[in-house]
Amino acid sequence: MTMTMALPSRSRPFWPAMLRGMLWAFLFAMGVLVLYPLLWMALGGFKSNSQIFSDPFALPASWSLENYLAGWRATRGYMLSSLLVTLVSTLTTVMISAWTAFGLTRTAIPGKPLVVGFILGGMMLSPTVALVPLVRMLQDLGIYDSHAALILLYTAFRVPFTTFLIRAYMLDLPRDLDEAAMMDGASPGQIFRKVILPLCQPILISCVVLHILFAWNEYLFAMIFTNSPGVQTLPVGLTSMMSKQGTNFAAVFAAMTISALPIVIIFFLTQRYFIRGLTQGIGK
Amino acid sequence: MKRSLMAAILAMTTTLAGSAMAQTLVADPAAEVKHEGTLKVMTKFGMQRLAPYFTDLAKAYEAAHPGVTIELIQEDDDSVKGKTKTLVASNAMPDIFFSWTGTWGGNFVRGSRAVDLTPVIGPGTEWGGKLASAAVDAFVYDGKNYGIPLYLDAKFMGYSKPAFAKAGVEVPTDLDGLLTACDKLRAAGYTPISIGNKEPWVGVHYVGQLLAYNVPREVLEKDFNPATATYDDPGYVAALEQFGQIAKRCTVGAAMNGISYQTAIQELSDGKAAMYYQEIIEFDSAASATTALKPEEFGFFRLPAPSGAKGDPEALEGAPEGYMISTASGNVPLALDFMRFVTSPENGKILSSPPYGQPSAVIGGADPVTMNPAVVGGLEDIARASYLIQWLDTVNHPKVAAAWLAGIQAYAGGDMSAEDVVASVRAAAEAAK
Repeated sequence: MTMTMALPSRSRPFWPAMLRGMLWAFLFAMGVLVLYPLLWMALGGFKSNSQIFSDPFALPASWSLENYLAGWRATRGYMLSSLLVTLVSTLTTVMISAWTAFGLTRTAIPGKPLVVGFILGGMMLSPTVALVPLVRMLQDLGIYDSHAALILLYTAFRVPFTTFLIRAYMLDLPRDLDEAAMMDGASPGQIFRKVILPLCQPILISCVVLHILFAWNEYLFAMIFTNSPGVQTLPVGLTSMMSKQGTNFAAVFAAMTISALPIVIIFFLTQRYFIRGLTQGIGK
Repeated sequence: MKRSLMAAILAMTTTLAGSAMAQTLVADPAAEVKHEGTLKVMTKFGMQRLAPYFTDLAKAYEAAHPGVTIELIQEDDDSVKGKTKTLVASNAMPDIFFSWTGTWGGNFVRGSRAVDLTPVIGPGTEWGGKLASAAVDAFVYDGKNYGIPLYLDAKFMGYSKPAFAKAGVEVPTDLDGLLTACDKLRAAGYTPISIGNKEPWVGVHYVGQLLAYNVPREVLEKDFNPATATYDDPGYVAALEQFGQIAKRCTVGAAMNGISYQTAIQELSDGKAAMYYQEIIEFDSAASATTALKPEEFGFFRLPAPSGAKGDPEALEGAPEGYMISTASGNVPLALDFMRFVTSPENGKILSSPPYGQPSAVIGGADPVTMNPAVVGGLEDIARASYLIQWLDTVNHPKVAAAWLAGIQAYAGGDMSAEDVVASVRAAAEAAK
């Protein structure tokens, strides 16, 4: 038994094994680099302000959930707003973008390159530059300081990028499918819903994840376009826990961990589709 | 930088807004208050600890006047800057808005965004008489009153009584006494003064107070204005050198530039450092029931003045923060009525007491029964101060402020001499003319 176990290792060349080992070590180091700050943040929620400053890298002295409960109490209202804004804007962005991408790839539009350029050109508009006119516009529309304002803005600013991703994916789908469906009497709407959309599942999931990441973490619009705590989202809520004086950093860490949790879970659940969608979609 | 951008936005939009908007430039004390309509109020109390103050006041005011609705926009220390700039630029300023003193408030005045409140809060008025006069004066621009101060702030040296007792040190009365005390505290195993100058305003606050001690008030005020600034008083270099001595004998020295102020205050709270130079609004959090240093073990004194200095040894560094009324407000009398309500002695007492702990600018707005005794003592010191010198980084032109911030940090790090720092400030003042 010992002989047979030893044989393959003797036959394996030294350098490839060494390189493999180094690669693993490198990947492990990268993993630590990404995961450690998250772990540090989560552990920070169990410490006291004093321990965070005096002993930042030690394990918590006690494992009391007090800070997590305080963090939850402080952020649950913002969490609801974030959930609502993220869910609705994800739905609207992905649906509008998919429909737009279908139009841009599957139908005959006069001056199509111009239309494509116009829509994708939206990616070049800086949100910061648009702030001032947007405040006026949303106030005139009567939706300033409402969830609708954020949903509208998140959708408008993300449609170009999402369209760009879905369009690149759709360009690669064979035309024969449309033609076959058309021969069977399907309308363009039916082709979109029953043929193209199901085939785009990987890129749609990628777009959903990307949009959720964006909407969940967006701060600038949320800070400028909302005033009431009942409308404000998590990033604004988290900053309201901090001040120049007397911040309970442990509760802030706990609240940050709680607010990051849904995103981390969503990413882990969908990462397989996410990576597949992006690698198949981009660059075509 | 941020402030010069703000000034540009204000100038531009004021021109654009033109005369189409109904503007109230001067408050009319005889105007009738109609208790109806909506008032928008932008506060800097967005932090969860402070937010209930204005929420409760708004509810109480609405209950007393059923026709009025108060819409609060509550921001925190940072977001209030971004929000103000955007609302100014889009001509959507709320009726009542938060402002710092110094150049920030001056921008609203230059852009005709703030109502001249001299007839209602200026010298000799009933309302003005109910507020701390140094605080009201801090919002005077070109001889006119533009702001309603809400709370006072000033800088004091907070210390740990047990640390002083262990090292056998008394509260120092002059700068040499402080330096000697530092040596004894260090020998007793304490960091004499914890300091974190990663945020450069920390060092600037020390120098600001020392400037008040070393440079005569008239010279300082002349130099705060770039048009008349010369920065040739020897007191400037003397103040910086005194800061250098404090840094060398009392603190970690050049390493202070790598430490945040939160870490430094925590050292005092943990009982590791004997002193921390702090604002009065930090007293409640520096020593509380949950920190190692208990409130009864916390003491404070003014940064001791050097003996024989040419400036004013009774001057204190600090500034109030307050509110202005928008010239575009459709209901200035109602806005003023709400601010009168906010600055009533009863509401002042609530503001001064925990959990808010913001020393009210209202005379009689302090209640020793409910307040932290240190805050009460600090307020008395502010009332006794002969002159309230404002923070160097807000009272000066943004370019000059930037030179102070960068220069003092470089001086603390050993990269610049005191003379070089003053020369850079002089050059910045020249460039700002």
